[in-house]
Amino acid sequence: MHIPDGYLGLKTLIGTGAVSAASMAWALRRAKAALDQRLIPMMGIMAAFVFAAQMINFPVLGGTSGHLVGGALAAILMGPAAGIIIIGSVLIIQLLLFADGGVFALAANMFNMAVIGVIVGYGTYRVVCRFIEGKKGIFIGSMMAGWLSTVVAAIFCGLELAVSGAVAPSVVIPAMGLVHMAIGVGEGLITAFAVLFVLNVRPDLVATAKKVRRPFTVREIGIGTGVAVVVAFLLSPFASSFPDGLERVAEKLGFDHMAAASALPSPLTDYTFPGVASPFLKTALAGLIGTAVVFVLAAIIARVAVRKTSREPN
Amino acid sequence: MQHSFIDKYADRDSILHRLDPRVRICLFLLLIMAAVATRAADFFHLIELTVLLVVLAALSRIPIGFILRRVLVVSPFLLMVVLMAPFLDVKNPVTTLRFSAAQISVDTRLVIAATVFVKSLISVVSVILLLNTGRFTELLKALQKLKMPAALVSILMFIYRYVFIIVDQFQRMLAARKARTFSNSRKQQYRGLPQIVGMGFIRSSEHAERVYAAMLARGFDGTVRTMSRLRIGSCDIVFGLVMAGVILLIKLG
Repeated sequence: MHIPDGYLGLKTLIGTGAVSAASMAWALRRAKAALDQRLIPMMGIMAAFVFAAQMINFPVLGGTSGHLVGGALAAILMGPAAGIIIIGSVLIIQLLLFADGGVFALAANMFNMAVIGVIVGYGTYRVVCRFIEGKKGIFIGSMMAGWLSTVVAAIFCGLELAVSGAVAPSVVIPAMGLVHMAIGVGEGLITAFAVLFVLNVRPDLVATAKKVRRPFTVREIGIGTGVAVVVAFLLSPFASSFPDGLERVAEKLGFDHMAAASALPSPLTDYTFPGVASPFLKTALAGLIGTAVVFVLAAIIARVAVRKTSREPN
Repeated sequence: MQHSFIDKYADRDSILHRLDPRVRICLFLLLIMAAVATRAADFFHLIELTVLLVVLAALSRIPIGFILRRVLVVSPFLLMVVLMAPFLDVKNPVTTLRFSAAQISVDTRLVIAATVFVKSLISVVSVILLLNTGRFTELLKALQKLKMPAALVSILMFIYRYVFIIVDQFQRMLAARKARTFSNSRKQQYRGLPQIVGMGFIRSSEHAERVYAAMLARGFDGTVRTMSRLRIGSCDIVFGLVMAGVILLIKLG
């Protein structure tokens, strides 16, 4: 996922560069406050560890092999600030030692892997841990964190390449997304089982395990669901009809005409319920049904996942 | 870890090796910037910059085979644009390239592919030359003098110091696991991987603690101090200015 020089335009580089630099500065300050004198030896050696771990490859879809990025792993084991510093440093070392990734493109590569990958991974982990408590939550959270961080980072990479004008958006975004959804499975599994291993052998080393807050109660979940239903039913008909971010970019860059009709049959196309005259009810019912379906699906998946890990020997 | 390619030619003697690392960094940065900032119509500037790069490579006395092998490692990413070129949707099907007074018209997709490919190639070869014309540690010290945050540079130095040890550790663990795998099945071969990663984390953490304790015992106070013998001489300035002048001439011509 390391973008070389020559692909990205100035605006992309400046935008991603500013965010990367600011994030790195924040992360260094935050880590210095937490680690004080141990900052440099600790971050240096743990970054060397992530660098070494990245060299491990695993099979993806039988044909190719994927590599661990380690953003989610670093963030879960050592905190998000450490994650940003470590992945950022590893990217710089890879550039200097292997010429992997461009010098100016470092801005975008850091943004994708060190910032987005780490933050998305950590955020996913924390959210899941609030819903499922204990080791189960940490395990599932780590798995989803590993997967999501890889996929989202890859999508951002694809978007940056698409905006650059050097590669066709209709090829690069699906290619990056799909390939990394497959690689993300490996990353998720390795992250989850590695975190579980460390949790069993040296739980004191998992910095974020201590910070896990108590899971949501049934009352809180009920209130949350209630709010979601109200918003979906009453407020969704008033949603803005202006094009969203992606549609706007597509119009501007001229690839919106490539949008094809959906490959799968959809009962509620464009968020409207068929056969209802009132424009308010059209959208409201679609919103309500969508919310209900997502809730049921999520509940089923959570049930199955929790039951599966409770059969784990540890 | 097979790391002989790092710093393999760092101790050779050439004009570039004798250059102050700060000047080297600025020179190659300028070259890459000049390449990246070239518009498609000025494609021939890129050709001229490539010629300059070849001259610098010759001056560096680094074997061409070595450079090409390092480029080969990252070539899949470089070729990405070339492979996706036929699918590009462009506004103008034809671009006019200028070369002094002459002009030729070429298919835009070919121009984009060639431009991006050459730019990324210039960048990769520049980094390879930069790395192999001096010690890695000197390069990092130069970066610090060029105002890179000291904490980050120190972290990079530590990575360089310990990465070989940790990679060797991983390879030993992987070899040990391979020696205990009696099955041909794919699943069995990758079974212990997360545990190896987890174990690597634990070992590295404990190692880091020991290193920190050793540093404290030697009076570490949070700031890494290293001896720096970097001195910019008149030769460095002259060489740097000449090269910058050449690059400027290319961009203006």
